[in-house]
Amino acid sequence: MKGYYLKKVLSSLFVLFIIISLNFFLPRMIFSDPAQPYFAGVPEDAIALREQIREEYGFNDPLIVQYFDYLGRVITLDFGESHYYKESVWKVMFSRIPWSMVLTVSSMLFSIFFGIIFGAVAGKKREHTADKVLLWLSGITTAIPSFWLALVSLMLFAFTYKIFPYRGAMTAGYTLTMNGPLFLVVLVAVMAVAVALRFITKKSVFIFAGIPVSLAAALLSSVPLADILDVAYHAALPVMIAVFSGTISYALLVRNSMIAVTSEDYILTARAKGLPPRVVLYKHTFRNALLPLITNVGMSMAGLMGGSVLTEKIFSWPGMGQLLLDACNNGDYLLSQAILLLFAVITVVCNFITDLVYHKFDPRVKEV
Amino acid sequence: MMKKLTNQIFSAVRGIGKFILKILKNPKGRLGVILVGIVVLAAIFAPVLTPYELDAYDVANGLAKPSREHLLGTDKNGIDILTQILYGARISLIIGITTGLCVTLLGATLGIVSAYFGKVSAAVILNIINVLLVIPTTPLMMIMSNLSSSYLMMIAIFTLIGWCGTARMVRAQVLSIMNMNYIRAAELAGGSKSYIMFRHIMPAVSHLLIMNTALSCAGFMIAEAGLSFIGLGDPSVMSWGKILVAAQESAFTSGLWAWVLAPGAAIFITVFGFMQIGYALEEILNPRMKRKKAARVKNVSPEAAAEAVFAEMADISEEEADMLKAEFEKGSHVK
Repeated sequence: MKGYYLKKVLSSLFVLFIIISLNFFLPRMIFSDPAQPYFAGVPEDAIALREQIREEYGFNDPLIVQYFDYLGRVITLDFGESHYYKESVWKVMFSRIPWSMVLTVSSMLFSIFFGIIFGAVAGKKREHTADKVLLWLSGITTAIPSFWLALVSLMLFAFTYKIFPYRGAMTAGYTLTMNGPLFLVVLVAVMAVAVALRFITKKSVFIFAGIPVSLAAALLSSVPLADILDVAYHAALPVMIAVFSGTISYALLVRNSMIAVTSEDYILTARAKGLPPRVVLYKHTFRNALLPLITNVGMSMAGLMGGSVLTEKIFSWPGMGQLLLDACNNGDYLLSQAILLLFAVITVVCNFITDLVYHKFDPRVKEV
Repeated sequence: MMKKLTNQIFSAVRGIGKFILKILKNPKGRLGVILVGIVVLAAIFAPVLTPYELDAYDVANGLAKPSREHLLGTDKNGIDILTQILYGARISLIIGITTGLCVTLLGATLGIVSAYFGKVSAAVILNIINVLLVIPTTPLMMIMSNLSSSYLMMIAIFTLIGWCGTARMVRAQVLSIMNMNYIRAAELAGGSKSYIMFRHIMPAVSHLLIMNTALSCAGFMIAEAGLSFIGLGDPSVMSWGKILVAAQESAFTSGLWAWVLAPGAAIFITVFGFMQIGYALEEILNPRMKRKKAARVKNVSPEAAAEAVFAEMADISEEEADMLKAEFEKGSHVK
């Protein structure tokens, strides 16, 4: 068992190393002059000054020296300063991550909730109405680009009928006041209570209910209600679009896995020993059918901080996707490098955690 | 010699003809072929179908509502929307089909190599896959688009990143057929590895590949529309994503519904058509694909289920089976 985890950790580190290297070489391949971002505000003809900057930031060193220099900076988590925002890259990123998470976390929670219910209903009765509707909907949603759905609903609900706002995350002129430490304290405290309850009562439902409840409690305690309502009002449309397609994909997953589980021998055994159908369905089929969901949720966890570029562009949402798009358009490659690296690290960590969790829930998984 | 060759060509043509007939006989395939056929014809005959040009600026007639002259209206510069959609079909089809083919070829080759050509190649390819799966596609695309904004670049990046899924799928399939007798026989007969790979393994996974090509064409078309929507497309060619960006800028406030709906409908028709062809190919080419048993727990009586369990226990003697059955009928089983 230890060997398995060691191997996993090593391969994750290897992947990270490759991505860091790629991160270093890509801008040097793409830009004719990688020192460009440092020249912000320096006039074109100030050649001596430019040369001085170049020397100062080590662009005249041999590539290999620069590479190790970059490795060192990554290890010390020093990503430099964004030349467009004139602030440290960390600060710029952290001002955007929560906004992306407002969209992604809420749509993921809703999608999983509705997806499990819809999938269970559809998987229970094959070829019945719910199942047919699900299959039909999934065929439609894979062929329709979700950003177009977002565009159409934006035009319908924000322009033709002015029900929802058409841009931004808050009403213009407002800023969010948030008590960050209080948020974290409440979040951790409520989650701890949920975990404690789980161990006392041995019912895992507390963990699953704990995540949304702790998030809600933390938000309610640290942000004024008016602000929450304003953000929710702005987030409603993008979240609804994401929940629509998310629900269908999770439901299809649950439904397919319900059908696969039903033909397993242990379901037959459960029937044979005379268990009532309800128990077989919910205790044996449904619970095991949720296993593939773990991998899927784990994979999409990685996207939580990244947000969706398309959604954020359409709704002018000030999140990470929009930030990355702007960074690329402005040639702000220190920022885009850091974002790419952050995404990759999150993905690697999430994959690793998913593996661990899956192993815990399904001990049949062989150590490959 | 010549005669043999002509015969071969004839039989190949006949085979392809039969195959196309099979697709047309399948209802899904028929629908898909019709939809894709319409789009392909529209793309090829775009200059004939519309009297307008893509650079026919007519600002005075800008933001026109749908009318006789302009069936879907005009954009800010007075360019006909229908013309844009017809020309946009070209780039969407080119990118979708080329990328679909490239991804499948690259993925299939690397997938088979990783499964069949020893541990070193497997380790190398699997590690590359691990890295590629972690790299977020859209951000990488954005960064790479600084290098060149040509649509060939988009095809190249899609291919470089997209082959992983195909390779994994093919690898799994190859691993399961690798130890079959006919492969062993070919090895014993002295076939080289590359010969066996192309003549024996490739045909065995070909049904997967053909289906995968159709489905990935559909997927890459959607991806292309999304990327050109965020401004990463080729600025010199018209594409459906680009029409939608312009629509978001001006159609919303002026209520020009056709401008927003039509490109989406075009994407939907094309992608849906390719998906239907893909599903039809799956049904035709994979005879092993059977409908899985329905999840009808409710309708199975405990007796029937018990019968099935006893039938599974092939290794117990008849007496033991009878004993178990008697016990079961007595009702001593767990409630």
